[in-house]
Amino acid sequence: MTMRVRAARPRWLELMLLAIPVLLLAVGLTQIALARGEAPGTQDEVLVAVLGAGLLVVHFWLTVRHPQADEVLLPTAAMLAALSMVMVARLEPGLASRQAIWVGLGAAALLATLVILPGIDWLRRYRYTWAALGLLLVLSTFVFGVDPNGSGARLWLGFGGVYFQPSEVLKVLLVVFFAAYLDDYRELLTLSSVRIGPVSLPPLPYLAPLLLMLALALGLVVLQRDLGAALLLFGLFLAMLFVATGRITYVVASLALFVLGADLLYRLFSVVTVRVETWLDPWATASTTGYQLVQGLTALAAGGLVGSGLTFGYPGYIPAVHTDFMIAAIGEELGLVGTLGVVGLYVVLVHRGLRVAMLTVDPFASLLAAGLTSVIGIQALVILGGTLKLIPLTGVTLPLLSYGGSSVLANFVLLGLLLAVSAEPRRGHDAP
Amino acid sequence: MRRNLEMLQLVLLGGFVGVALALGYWQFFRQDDLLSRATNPRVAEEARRVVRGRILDRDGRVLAENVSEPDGGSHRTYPTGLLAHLVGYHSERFGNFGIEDRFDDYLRGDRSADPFERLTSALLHRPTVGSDLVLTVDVRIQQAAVEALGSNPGAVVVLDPKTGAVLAMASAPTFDPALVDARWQALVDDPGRPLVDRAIQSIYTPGSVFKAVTAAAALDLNLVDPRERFRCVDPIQIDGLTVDCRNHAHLPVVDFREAFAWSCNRTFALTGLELGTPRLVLADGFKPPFPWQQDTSGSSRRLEEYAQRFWIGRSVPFELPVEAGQLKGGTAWYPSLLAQTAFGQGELEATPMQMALVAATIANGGSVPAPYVASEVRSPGGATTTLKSPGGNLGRAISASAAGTLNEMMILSVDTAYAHPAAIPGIRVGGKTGTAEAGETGSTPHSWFIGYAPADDPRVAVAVILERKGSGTDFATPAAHTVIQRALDVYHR
Amino acid sequence: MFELTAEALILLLRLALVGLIYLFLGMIALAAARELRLLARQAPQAGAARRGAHLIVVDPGATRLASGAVLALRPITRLGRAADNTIVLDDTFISAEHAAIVQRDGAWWVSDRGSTNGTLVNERPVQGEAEVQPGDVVGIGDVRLKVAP
Repeated sequence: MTMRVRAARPRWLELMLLAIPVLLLAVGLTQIALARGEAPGTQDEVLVAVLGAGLLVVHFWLTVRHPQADEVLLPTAAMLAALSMVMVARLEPGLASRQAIWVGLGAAALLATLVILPGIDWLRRYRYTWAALGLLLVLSTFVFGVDPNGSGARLWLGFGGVYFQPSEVLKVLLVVFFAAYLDDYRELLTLSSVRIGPVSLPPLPYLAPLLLMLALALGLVVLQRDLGAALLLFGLFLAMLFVATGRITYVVASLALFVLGADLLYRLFSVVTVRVETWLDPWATASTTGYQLVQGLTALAAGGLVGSGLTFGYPGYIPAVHTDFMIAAIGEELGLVGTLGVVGLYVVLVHRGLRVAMLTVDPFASLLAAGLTSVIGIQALVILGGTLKLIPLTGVTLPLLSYGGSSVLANFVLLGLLLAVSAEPRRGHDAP
Repeated sequence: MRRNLEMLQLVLLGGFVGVALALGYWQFFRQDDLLSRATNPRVAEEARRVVRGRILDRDGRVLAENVSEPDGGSHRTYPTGLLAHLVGYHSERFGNFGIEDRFDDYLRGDRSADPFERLTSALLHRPTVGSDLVLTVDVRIQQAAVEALGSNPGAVVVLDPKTGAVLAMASAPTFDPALVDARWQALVDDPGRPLVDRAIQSIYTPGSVFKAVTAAAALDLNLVDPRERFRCVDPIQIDGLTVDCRNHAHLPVVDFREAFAWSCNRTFALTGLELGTPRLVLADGFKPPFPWQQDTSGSSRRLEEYAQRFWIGRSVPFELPVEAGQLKGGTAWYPSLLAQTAFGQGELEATPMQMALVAATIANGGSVPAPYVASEVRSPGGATTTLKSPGGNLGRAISASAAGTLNEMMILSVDTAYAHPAAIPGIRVGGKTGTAEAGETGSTPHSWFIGYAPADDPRVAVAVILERKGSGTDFATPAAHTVIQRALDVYHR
Repeated sequence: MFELTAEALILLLRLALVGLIYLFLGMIALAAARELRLLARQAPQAGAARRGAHLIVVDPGATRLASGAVLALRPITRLGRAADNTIVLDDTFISAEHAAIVQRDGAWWVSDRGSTNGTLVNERPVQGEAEVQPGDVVGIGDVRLKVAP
């Protein structure tokens, strides 16, 4: 089934909104240059041009081929991407052009997704293929995995200097698989039960393939010490299961399993124990394990309400500040107003994504949209929660804001899929 | 399924609300707490980037300033090398000392004469520039003071008795304030204790210079006619203590002024014991019962009162902390203690600053001038704030006429008696020497001098102490002479 | 006092940076508000065109349902005595997981979930699944629910 194409209409809202991230990049790069005592250079101009061109191309394609797709998703993602380019230019000037390349490639990947995808239904058809592919990729990190950052976990695959994280791809593949499976067995999962005496349990036989997939994925990820990805997958699974069935029983049971599992991990793995203890009192180990968290919180405090201004803060004291802890640098230099703005952008992203899910008629597409949105939403919440000492820290990146190729690429492909779903037939009016 | 999606949206958005609240918590509510902790490297970073204000003497000569290094940092230099204790030092590791400490907020730009300028500077992300500080000190006089001390442990204080401005304040042994970081442990362990500012932090037995206070009390209470002559030869016995009269063997009959000029212990022992009586009885040959054997309280109270007025036993208000010293320790008064205290021994302890104030009070007609050393703050943009208006005083110690008489006595000591090494041709100098016994019997006494010049319209008041050097006449007084000479040459208010 | 120096420009750009983020969010909020107003105006027609269905309580039996109450049907509606059902029917003759009504391809289907006493449509027992139209009456225990658009 190819996607139906309605009559082309200009996507004014999207066009207007897209101007702002481009402006943001220009303003940010200029301010950084001036503060460093230089005039904005050719590299800055190229960066702005790359972003502008990439966005225009995608916008044009959408206008021509999918005019009814959501008009807010792309600009919001672009805002986050532009902000990431500004922050990387400030934090690691040497990597600024690389980040621009990644964003450019991301836009290309998004376009490719829209162009190549034979249709949402096609995704559903090859559900087991996606699952297998994902697992294969993660398995390969066992064998070929490398650790370019020296963080202790071999989570990366490298080809000639370029590294990418298979776990990023795994997330998207699993979402598609879950969506398809849940759509198939939705009624059964919602309605039937296994009766054991007075208690009525969910139908385990039908849950089995799901749980098996999840267990495999989790197992691989845990064995690789990528606890952040494990948490993400679990949350994703829970979210999609709930959306499909609406049964609180599943939620409660899953949370119970989570608590048990977490407790087990806490006892068994010293890594987990350390993380939890650091979370509870980072100042006790402020010069060792608690260093990153303490410096992150201190940087946020240093920013106060309005921040110290780009280049006027001292975010260099925070490890991984251009990836996982980007929000701390934003907090120090752009202040509370800046960080709340970023939260606002994620909120918009999540809201629009779920809105797509709510309005789409086809249940599989709807589940898919819900899952894709949950990937971004849960990941953002997990890393923000860790940075802000709400939950223990896990090694996940801030979606779209972090520096990092595989993260940017995967998120843009995800966005492409989301836009594709939003182009599907939807119930109700024709509002964008 | 829509309902489920709405629930999911609620959960996720709720999560973001939690994140927003957490952001507000850390960036707003816990801001002061987190920033003031040791884990915040910004404090040190900012401090390093500050262009610290300079410290200047009264004529604008640089006493302390930052010099930039090729790598972008800067270090503090002290071009004169003469004011280590007063100006102090600025060390990231060991803290600040002296004026560098007292006015640190102005010097590092946290406080400014022009708050508006500071605000605009911060908004425009300019590097923080501290304000300059102008002191009342004159480097030329300070140089004379430091040279007069040489390598002898001791101190010199030079004040303007009318305004209270500190013109010089030296302490020996000294140290190099630019090398504090490198030599800290050695400085701390040095038995000579070079880090102590002896001018205001060390307390010494003043010896005969304290007779000025006892005399002041007697004159102010009108207990004696300064020109009434009396025979003063025989030693007296007070509770087993013998106080004799050796200092003016060539003058068996003296008046109160000469007894002062020749530093007669016997006279002043009696003065101290008789402060509570209506009239001093100083001549030889009076017979017991001596009034003080029953009750010294009247006299001791009077001595305490006048010591108080001269700020002995009280901490003098000054930009840097001044030790209070004491008139007496914890024991109750008894006659021989009162007698000894009255001529400058006993349990008496005072700082050179306090003794300089005694001289300054006499020079200032009996009113104690308020000493100060920091006169003005200048912001980077040029705005100035006057820190202290000259002419403030710390109370009236004695009447103007009593001060006048005391002035005569001080002049007499310089013209004719023990303080003569302080004499300057053509200028009337008032002064008093002191040779203070301290420590174990037989150890070398402290050499003291206090004085002022010109006596008719004093411009400078001085106190000099040379620790364990010997008699006041032989050491402290010649030293004071060079200092006073130089001060009069260069200082014209 | 203020020349347009690089310093002042930096300050302006700082403001602009954060301002752009909020301008963006504001524009989205405006667009959303406009959409809501549009929706409100369209609502009456949209309501009529909505493909929903309801159950009207004809006979509450021994349950606490009110006679005549209108219950909305969801794409999957579970009925039974257990508390986590979509429509809870608290009567001992009704099983914990009794019946389900699902919407598939525009039509509504009733199925029995393995209940003790069975489910009826127009008083006839349901074998497997049965399609219902508006007007049909679903029987669960003593409860009678009429399907309505």
